[in-house]
Amino acid sequence: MEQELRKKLREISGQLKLSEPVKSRLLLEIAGDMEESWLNLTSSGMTTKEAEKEICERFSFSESELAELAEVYLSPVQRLLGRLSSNLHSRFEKILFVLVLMVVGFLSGRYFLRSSFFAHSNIFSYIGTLCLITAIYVFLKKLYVLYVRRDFEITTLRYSVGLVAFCGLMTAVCSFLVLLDKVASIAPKLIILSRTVISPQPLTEAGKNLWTSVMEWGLELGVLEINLLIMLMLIIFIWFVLDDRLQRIEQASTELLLQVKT
Amino acid sequence: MENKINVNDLARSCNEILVLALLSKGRLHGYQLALELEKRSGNYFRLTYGTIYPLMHKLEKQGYIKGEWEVEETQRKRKFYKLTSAGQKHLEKSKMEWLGFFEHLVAILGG
Repeated sequence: MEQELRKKLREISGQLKLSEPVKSRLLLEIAGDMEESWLNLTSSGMTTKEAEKEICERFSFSESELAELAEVYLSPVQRLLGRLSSNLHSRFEKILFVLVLMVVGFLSGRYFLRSSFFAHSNIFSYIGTLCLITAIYVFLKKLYVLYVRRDFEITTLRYSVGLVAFCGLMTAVCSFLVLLDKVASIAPKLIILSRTVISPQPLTEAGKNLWTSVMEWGLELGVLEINLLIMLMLIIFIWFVLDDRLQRIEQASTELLLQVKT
Repeated sequence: MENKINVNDLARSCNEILVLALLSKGRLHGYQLALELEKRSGNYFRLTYGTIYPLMHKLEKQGYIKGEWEVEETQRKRKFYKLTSAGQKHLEKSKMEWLGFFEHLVAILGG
């Protein structure tokens, strides 16, 4: 594609307020039309310069035309937000993000309190919970940027996805550390219990209590590990959804770049 | 009740029926559509791409036309549009509206 036409396409891309991959697909469509137009004009006897000038003129979009094009793909929420002033819009976003964080924190806390997660918890289970809240918050914020605000750059698109992956890794590590911590706390009892089991003598009252406490420990550990695994699965799911979405966006963008460069 | 054209939105209605009428003859991509329109109208109608793309995408969203991507011989991907059955019905309705509009216009101008 000719240098001038590429420049024009970049100019249109900068002006278009559309979400990906819609934007890349539209640019791909325009690039195709531009190129065919250029081929037809040059083959009909126009010089390269004249053809470029003609195409740049015909492919010029006014602000209202670009807005009309963007409006086709606006959701009802976006239409509503578009009516707010920029100052009010940014204030609304800040309040929205704080509210989202509070709701996510409240719901996660309530769920884990109900499952008596915090009753047997240690520092690692709190870190795991924090990781989950962070991942959900990042996920919701990313969705907002992708589908409502739509002002992202391809180069910075993956920044927060790394944070979600880190949260997942931290949760997995926490799950393992919780296990180690709990095993370490019960280890002396387990040793005594194993001696009791080996011993041919009948089980004493102290032995029965020991059995009970070991069973309780097992249940506590089960609750902690199951909840941490649920957290891990949720974070993996979030990462998977985000990664899949971003891959589609990147793919559309790469496709466009490859077509335009040829 | 008689279907009427919104006189405040004449240009848009006109562009819409032009695009639908051209697509009723066969599938076209944006450039072909602009070219065909000029050719068939003897350069009377000349739409800019700033008009064509929002219109095509709006019609596609409304379900009157359908866009399909295809790889051409040059290995370039092109989006071709074709009229849907809903688009065909809409075109017929629009034709009636425009004929009604001209009838009334001529009655005033000719009278």
